[in-house]
Amino acid sequence: MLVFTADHIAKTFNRRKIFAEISFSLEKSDSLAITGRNGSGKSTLLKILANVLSPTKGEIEMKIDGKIVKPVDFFTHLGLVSPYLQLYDEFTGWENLDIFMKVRGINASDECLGELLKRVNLWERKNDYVRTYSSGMKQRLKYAFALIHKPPILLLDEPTSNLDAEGISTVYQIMEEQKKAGILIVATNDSEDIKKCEQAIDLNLQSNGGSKK
Amino acid sequence: MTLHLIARPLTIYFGKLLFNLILLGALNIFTVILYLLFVTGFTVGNYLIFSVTILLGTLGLASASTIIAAIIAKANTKGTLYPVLSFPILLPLLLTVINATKLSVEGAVFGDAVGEFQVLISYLVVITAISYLLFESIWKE
Ligand SMILES: Nc1ncnc2c1ncn2[C@@H]1O[C@H](COP(=O)(O)OP(=O)(O)O)[C@@H](O)[C@H]1O
Ligand SMILES: [Mg+2]
Repeated sequence: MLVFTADHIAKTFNRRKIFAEISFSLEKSDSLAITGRNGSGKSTLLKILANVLSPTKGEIEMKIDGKIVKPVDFFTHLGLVSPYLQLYDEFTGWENLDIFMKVRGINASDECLGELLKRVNLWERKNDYVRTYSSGMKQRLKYAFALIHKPPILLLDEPTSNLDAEGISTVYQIMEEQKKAGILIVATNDSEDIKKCEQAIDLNLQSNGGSKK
Repeated sequence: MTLHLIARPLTIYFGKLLFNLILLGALNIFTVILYLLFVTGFTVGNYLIFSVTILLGTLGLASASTIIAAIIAKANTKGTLYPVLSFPILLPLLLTVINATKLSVEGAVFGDAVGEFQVLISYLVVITAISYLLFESIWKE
């Protein structure tokens, strides 16, 4: 059993109200699209859900098998793909994933890592430094980063940015699988992406996000 | 943000603390060796006081600078803030360590330096407790 609840979340940056009163409750095999114009707070909301940023008001609750997960442990149960994510340029794609795996304390085999890299089509370039990757390849590596621990909750910010047609179809496949296995939350304005989700929150309607109080 | 997604805040804190400890510890030992070898007229009267001072001083300096660095990493004016913020926080530590070193060089008995060590230990306890309580909110932007 898996429950992910947001209760009256609000965020204010330096007295600028971004959004307020965001509430939803998701269970296994639910999917949610977060839409809104640029600057409406989609990325901010995803960071709050991932416990990277604290909300000004409100609570987020994650429940797995009836047990409440502490916010400091959210990271073990969720994966995030975001333009704000920075992987280590000085390491190769393979080394990046290997380090993340070790820091997380999971013992995936080399085959597992290899399969992940093949899935996002980076296998041939696994021994190249990330700084030599194109933006699309970095985006692919972020998917490998987000999926390495098989998280029950997957958060995607602008999931298809920088990707080619083949990459986009891989992402849609990942989204479909996530909807079967757990919870999927996508921040996007792409109508194709929105169609993949059953529920939607429009941040434009939620508040006058971005305007001064 | 990557680190936020792969580890608990306290794990990150102890990682940074450990790095600072090793760096400062190595640096201090290196400096002591250089002093003993090359500074003429530098002799330590009481090695016990001297080594306890080095140990407590390194611990205090490393833990204070770890939390100060964490605070400053989140501020916008990084360059000038470190000396301004760290000086008052480090001042009691530095004064006590200088005093204790002086005692050790003069060859005082261990009992004379107990007061200094109590100050250093209290400083350590306070800084560690504050860091433990604050790091999560500093770290989470
Ligand atoms: N660290 C920050 N400090 C101040 N304002 C911020 C910060 N991060 C984001 N904002 C503001 O919050 C609003 C929402 O940003 P964001 O969540 O990135 O929007 P979106 O992803 O929907 O385009 C913007 O107006 C932006 O200027
Ligand atoms: Mg955004």
